[in-house]
Amino acid sequence: MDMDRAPYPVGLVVEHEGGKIRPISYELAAAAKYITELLGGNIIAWAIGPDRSLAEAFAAQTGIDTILIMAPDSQTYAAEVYLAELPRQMLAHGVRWICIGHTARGAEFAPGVAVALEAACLAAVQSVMLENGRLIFRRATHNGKIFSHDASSTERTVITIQPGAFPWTSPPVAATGAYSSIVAEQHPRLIRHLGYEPVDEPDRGLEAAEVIVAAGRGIGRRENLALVQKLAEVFPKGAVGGSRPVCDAGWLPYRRQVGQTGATVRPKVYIACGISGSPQHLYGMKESGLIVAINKDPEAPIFKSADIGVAEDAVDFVKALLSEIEVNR
Amino acid sequence: MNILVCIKQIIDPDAKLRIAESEQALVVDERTEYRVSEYDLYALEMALLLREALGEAKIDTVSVGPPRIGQALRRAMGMGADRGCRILSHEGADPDPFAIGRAIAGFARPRKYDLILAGVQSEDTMQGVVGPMIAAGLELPCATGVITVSPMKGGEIEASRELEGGRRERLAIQLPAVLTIQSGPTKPRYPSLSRMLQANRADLASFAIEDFGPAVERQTTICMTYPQPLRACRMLEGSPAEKAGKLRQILLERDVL
Repeated sequence: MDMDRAPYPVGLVVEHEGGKIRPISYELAAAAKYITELLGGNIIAWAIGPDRSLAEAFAAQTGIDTILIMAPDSQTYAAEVYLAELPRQMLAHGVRWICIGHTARGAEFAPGVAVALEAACLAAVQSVMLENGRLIFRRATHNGKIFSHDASSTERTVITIQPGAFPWTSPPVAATGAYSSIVAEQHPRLIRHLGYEPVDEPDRGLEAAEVIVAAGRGIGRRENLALVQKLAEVFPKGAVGGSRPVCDAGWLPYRRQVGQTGATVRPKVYIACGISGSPQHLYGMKESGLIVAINKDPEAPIFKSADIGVAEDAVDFVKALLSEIEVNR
Repeated sequence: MNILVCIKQIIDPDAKLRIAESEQALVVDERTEYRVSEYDLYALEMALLLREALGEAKIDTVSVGPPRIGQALRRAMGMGADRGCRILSHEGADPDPFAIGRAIAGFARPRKYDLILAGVQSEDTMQGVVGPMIAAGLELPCATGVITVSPMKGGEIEASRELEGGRRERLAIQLPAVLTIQSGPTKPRYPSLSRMLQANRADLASFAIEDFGPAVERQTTICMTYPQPLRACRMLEGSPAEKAGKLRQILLERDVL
């Protein structure tokens, strides 16, 4: 459609916490830049918060014009402020494509922004293509077994960007983006932030490990974790990790969880035992040196992200591997 | 307290999935297995726990889809929900999240629920947008990725929601509100046999999706594909023992063993 070709501005929302810009914000800059390379147009970033220096820093680092929506009483993220202020701003600036992080908070306010803008909301986008003049967004579905190529049929479109999908390479910036600010009219009314829970820090052992043996639902029973533990102990610098379902089941503490809502690891070797390979899990381990996947389902998506694949029942194969190692000691 | 839980019936993602010739949908035949999206079961479990904590609450469930969704609602009633309501769409015409959100918001509006719960995302389309869209349609406060909920005084509830890296924040939210529920330590209960027998005889309220507005699609699936390999996976061949031997060799070469 020609409509997409017209150089309309692309918007993005800067995510920040504790006075720091979160890495996803730069990935949104990369995604927005990519869309403007396909369609033309400029980029406008919005940051909501009390801190002018944060918006100025983003403008300087990315070269993107950045508007601070000054919300002095919003030290932390407040959904109500985002939902009231962003659509107003985006309509006023005529943006057609809006990039928001597919993060805990981005995924919360993006759909509401879309409703207010009468826009489609395409979530967890991993790549963008231009086909016949139309933007197509590729996203994982069905726990990562299928990818869907989706298009919007609305004038404006909100897309949430899967973390890790658009790396920011810190390109040299020709000129700093313009900084401006407005004052938020909306205050939080119905949601009060009470604070953070004591953090169950990701296990240090995971960070230091050279080999991580990770357990997934495919190990079947809690008792089988002992085997995974035993395999991890075979390596001088081994540690046990797990997928979310294993931690939800209480088989491992959450600080052992690898993935988007757990730890991000990059050991020399990552051995995934009975892990299907959801996008959330892959996010946490895809930078590992060598990835070994053991899963009895040869179609499990984990094999698409692995260097070495073993299509066997994880428990039986770990037993076989342990005896092979012991015999050859 | 009146609670509405949104339930989605999906093709079992653990089954073998095949893309249809149209490339726009999955193959559906007599062998296709359906089940309730896992996160929605966690949402229902949350509602049941709240009812137990409060001593009294009415739990309705609602689902959007073709007539077969009745099966999912009956399972929810077997777990302990009081009622099931179907919002019927045409077989094969998967409504998009906006259409689903608008229909559920339209259904909920006159019924004055105190709390609307949904899964943090569905296991099939994995967008996680319907819950916040219902909230936006009803102009209610919304929190996503919620792990625990407890009632507070003064018409509020306290919710703990998950952030990145396992961090959690605590929120006090004025009711009525919409929450989307993340999986957590409390596994959804199994339906009880006696409740299931009752549920199988119960009447389900039925509406047409058009009752809540004309069909307008905001997003369409152009095509579906299988995942592209990100790494060239070498599948080890042979007996389990032979494969184990090969893997040991690879680990030795990597100097980690």
